[in-house]
Amino acid sequence: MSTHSPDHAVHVQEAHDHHDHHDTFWTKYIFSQDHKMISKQFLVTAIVMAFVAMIMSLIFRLQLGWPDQKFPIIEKLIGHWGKGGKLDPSFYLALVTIHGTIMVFFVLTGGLSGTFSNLLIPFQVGARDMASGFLNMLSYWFFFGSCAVMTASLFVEMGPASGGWTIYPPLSALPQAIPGSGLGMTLWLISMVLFIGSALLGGINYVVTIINLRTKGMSMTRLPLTIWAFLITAILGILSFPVLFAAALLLLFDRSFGTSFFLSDIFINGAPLHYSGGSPILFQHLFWFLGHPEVYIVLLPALGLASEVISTQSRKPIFGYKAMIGSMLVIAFLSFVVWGHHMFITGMNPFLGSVFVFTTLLVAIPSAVKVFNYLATLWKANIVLSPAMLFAVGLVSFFISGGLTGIILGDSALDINLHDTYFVVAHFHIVMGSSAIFGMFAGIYHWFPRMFGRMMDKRLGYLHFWLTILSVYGTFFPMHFIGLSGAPRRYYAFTSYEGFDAAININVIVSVFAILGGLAQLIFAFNFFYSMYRGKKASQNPWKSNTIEWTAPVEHLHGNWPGEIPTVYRWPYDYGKPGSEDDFIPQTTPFSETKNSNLEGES
Amino acid sequence: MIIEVYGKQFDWTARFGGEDNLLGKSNFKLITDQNPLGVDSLDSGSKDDKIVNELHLPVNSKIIFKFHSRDVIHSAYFPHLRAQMNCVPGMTTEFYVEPTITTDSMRLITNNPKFEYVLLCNKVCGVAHFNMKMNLVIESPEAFRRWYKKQQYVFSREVALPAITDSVKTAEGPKTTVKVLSKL
Repeated sequence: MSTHSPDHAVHVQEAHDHHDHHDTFWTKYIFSQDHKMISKQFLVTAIVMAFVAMIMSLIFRLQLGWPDQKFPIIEKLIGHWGKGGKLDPSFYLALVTIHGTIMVFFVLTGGLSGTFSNLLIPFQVGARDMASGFLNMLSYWFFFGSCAVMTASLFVEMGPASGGWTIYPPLSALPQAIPGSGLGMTLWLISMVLFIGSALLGGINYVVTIINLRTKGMSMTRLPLTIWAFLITAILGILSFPVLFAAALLLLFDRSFGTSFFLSDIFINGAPLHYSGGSPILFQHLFWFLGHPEVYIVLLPALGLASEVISTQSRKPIFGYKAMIGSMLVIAFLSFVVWGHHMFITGMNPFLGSVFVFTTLLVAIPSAVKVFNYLATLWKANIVLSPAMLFAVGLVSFFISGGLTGIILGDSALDINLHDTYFVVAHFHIVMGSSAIFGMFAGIYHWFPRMFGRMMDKRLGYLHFWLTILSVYGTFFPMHFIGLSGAPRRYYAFTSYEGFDAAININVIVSVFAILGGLAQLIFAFNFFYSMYRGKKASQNPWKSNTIEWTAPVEHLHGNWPGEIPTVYRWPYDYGKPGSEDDFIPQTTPFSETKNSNLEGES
Repeated sequence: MIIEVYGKQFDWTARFGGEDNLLGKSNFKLITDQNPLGVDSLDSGSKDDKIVNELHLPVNSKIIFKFHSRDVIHSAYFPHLRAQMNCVPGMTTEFYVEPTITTDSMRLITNNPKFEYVLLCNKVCGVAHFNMKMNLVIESPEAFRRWYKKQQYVFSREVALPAITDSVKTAEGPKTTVKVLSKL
């Protein structure tokens, strides 16, 4: 146990001798090539974007909850789009579009993978830094540029993109169809192209680092599940994002150069357009060929973080380590053959639809394997309920309750009725949105000491957790019923027929919980930024964890470890091993020092 | 019975195939104010087509819907019939339904005298997306026939067909004074 804690003073001195470099403000905080700083940059950018997107959702929740009332605060926030405190219907569509775009891409893709892949890959595989620090820096700055362009699009005269985050043409292609399809849509596409650049630069870097820069003894089957999740996520991104790039590019051609990839036979604003021979459905195929893997790009890192947190805080080895890896690989493979379930009602041949039903329902198998493995890990464990653990367990809860509605929606016969209703909104906000953000919270609470050398406040963490899980279920659970009653999504108001009266009443409850959830995030923001400077100083290994990032000194060093990178002798989940003195045995402890607890074949 | 459901920003139109149960061909280039669906008057199938803005359906009969859109993607969503299909410009989609409960029976079942079947748009299609709907009445075959008889044909049946096409093609063709009955 003690072999891995080197004499700091000596090694820090050595490190200084070996890496004699001087950081200026610019190279340290802005154009940093250090994975730890880049991960913080990703995280802070994502938190800012998440608050922007969350405020947007609260504005349209005000409208949906109380469609007849006026809210002066709306006018204060968004100016003439909320004249007299009444949200403009076209800006309502802009809000739902940009809320979705920011949350899916900037928060749960860039923010989640960008933060934790960058932080944990070099730390947990035992590398000095990413394979290419420069590409890594470029990845962040593409991401930043993409966020900046998207934010700028909020301020153009005709408003930002408003065709929904899936930007289906012809709506997104024709400025005549909706004001947001003018300059706002062009900026959306530019932003997305930058984002894809960032995701690819990052993804290639993650894969290369994991494959090539593992420390001595770190075989693939000794990798923490976080790293497996990041690896599979990065591969998914590399394979699927270029398809979105193609779709965005072709859409740009249709919009700006008069091509007809996605447009045909259109008569709008009193005049026929010249487009002929294209297919709007082709865009949907291209979009969802990215779009579905994207769901797992969002979810897998969260599941990886939860695996690590749940095992550590259960003080038990993760149940079914190899089954966890296998199920992630199967999910990743299946994610490429299920995209058609987003398109059951586009006129798809029902036989083809049934094929997509089959592949979609197959996803339930590896997902169930993961769920039962989490539950088996928690079973009879000495659970330490840290805030991170609560969030990780919350993720499992959402994964179950959202996954069940996924089985319903994945069935083409049922989807005919439920497609594009609030049932879908409820489903994906729970299984993808809330799961992934809970995984991200778990990661932030758990690795905050690794990032900033300080602890986040526990009590505020508990308050944040309970308010958040209450408001997530309070917000999204009633939406199932709104959807079952036939209420379509992306409706500015449900006044068009009286059948929606019940839905309007439920919408009040939904909005109240949404506002509560929004306020709860202020607690998190305070806790995060306060603890960054004033939090309790962290010890080197505050969670008594096995993985090797906790063997590096609390202060951030260039190259992570003073002196040699530790060698790894065992898998990362030797918690509560019978016969062992401590209830955890770090990966750096050789079997020769743990004779009493070694199993057969471990020596 | 074949019915075309036609979506445009921001309302629905329906066209009945008529006695021959054939929908006349249509082309977006033929769309005018008088011919909002761009029905081709040259096509013999179109001569008995009828266009309506409130859709009546006879109960217990098989109804084939063909879906079209002229501008962006709409989605024809009948929440009470548990049926939905996208309307995509440049292509035709279809399904069939057999409504089994009349509007009147539903009013009794739901204990709501104001109950109406509706057709909603369920694919975001623009600013007034949330207001795009058409009422649907499901009634006995006799009541349906009475209603159907009162509806007007797309094209006046007395007019010689070629003339209508020329009028659509405008300038070059001989000017016609076609009485085009439409919506409306």
